Amino acid sequence: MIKALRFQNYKVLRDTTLPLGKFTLLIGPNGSGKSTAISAFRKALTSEPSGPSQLIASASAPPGQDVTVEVQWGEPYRATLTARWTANGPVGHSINAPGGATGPLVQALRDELSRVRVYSFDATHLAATVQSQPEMALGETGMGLAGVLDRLRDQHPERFDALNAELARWLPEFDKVLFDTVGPGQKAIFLRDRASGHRIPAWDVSQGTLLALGILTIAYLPDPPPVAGFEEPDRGIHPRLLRDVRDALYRLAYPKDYGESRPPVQVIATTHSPYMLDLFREHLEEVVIAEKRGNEAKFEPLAHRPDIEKVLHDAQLSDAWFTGVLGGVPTE
Amino acid sequence: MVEWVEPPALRSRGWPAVLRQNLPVVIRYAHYRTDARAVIVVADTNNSILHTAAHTGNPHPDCRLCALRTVAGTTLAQLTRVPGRPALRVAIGAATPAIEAWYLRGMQPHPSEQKWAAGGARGYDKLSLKRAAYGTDRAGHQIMTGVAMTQAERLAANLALLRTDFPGGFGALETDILAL
Repeated sequence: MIKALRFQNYKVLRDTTLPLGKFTLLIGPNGSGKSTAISAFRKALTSEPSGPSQLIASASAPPGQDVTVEVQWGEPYRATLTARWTANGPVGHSINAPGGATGPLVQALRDELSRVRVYSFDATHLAATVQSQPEMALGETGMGLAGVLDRLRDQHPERFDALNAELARWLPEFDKVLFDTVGPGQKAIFLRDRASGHRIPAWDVSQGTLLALGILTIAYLPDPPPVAGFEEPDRGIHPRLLRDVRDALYRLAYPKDYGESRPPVQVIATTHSPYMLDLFREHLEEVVIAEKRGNEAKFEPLAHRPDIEKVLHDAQLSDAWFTGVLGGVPTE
Repeated sequence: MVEWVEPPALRSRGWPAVLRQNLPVVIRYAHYRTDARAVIVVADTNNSILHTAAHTGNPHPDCRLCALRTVAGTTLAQLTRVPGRPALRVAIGAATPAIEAWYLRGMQPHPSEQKWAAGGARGYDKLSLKRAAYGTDRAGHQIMTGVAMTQAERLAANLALLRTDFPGGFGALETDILAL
């Protein structure tokens, strides 16, 4: 499991570490580095951008200093991958591990990083028709959903049925995901209206419905990515459904608790929703606050706050957050 | 006789909202917009003090059940009469420290108000009760609902179990309901 991301002079993350658990919920004001942090997995692997460090250096970083992003693994690897950018451009990444950076270890780390996905769904992409392909994966904006669900139905019908049952519980007006060919090789999703049996094309259902379907699809995949980031999974979804959204993400992170036998997914989600935050009152260790001061941001686990339980007492987590006493709010 | 009707889709958002906003709104809604005879409320006590018979007539400021009774009483007193409608009643209980303690009555770890009052000797807390009841402290909605239904049916056959071990929180609820 990846236990932390460490940043030096990287955009707004001038000098900070994002600790990661099996599940991490990131809250904080706009521009506090939440998205920057979870998009850094790929940057660390690919050393993008290919230009000099100035392109990604913190505004407050001394001129000429290197920019680094570290990915720190706990067990079983106990390794650190460091990507570095100098004034002359990226110098690739180095790997440190107690037993040395052996070939298999390097391959395993690169493989895990290459499979990290950060989902930021776009309803029009989720609804898009797709050219059928045998091994279709869900894109980070939702492209390919029709192909992925079609494959799930064919290869894992029990998972597809469970997804349909869950969808029907979330959105009782629908009872099944259907497919049709709408052009040469072009698959499209339809949702069946429970009352009338009418098939509604994906491009005619609400954005929130599509966003919910995207999250549910990942939760029921037999082979989800080892690390999955979710940009505002609450977006477009009714507050009363957010508990189900959280449970779908928990299904990924804690598969045994949901009757799944596949390996756990390390989940990192961002939110601005007070309703979403309140769902983590009993697991403060899963919440990390991004605090922005000037043009720098830092991360701090909520559970590390001194006397946090005494401060919260009976208060809603969201109310306490909104007051500002927990940090993670816009500066005024 | 209990008449089963489609339940209103009511939910609350944590204790402060229950006390200040949700309960008064639900009571007013039930009075003005339904023909319900009573509203039944059960809240988790979390770490607040146990309700005891000594609080009757002398509400304790740190007791959730007393707080709910006070709010309910105030709200009921503010209702204006609806012609043809009998007075709405409210029955209130409190599960210590959480409803899972009731589900687990007669099972491990044998929660009870007496054990909870014993502090460190009780051997359980809210999260461990969830793990005992659901097999995880991150149970999904379906699992929680299923366990609630199963345990409610089991306990309904022998309410003395709850009455004996949760005399403050369940006893008060039972008394209120029998008086409806």
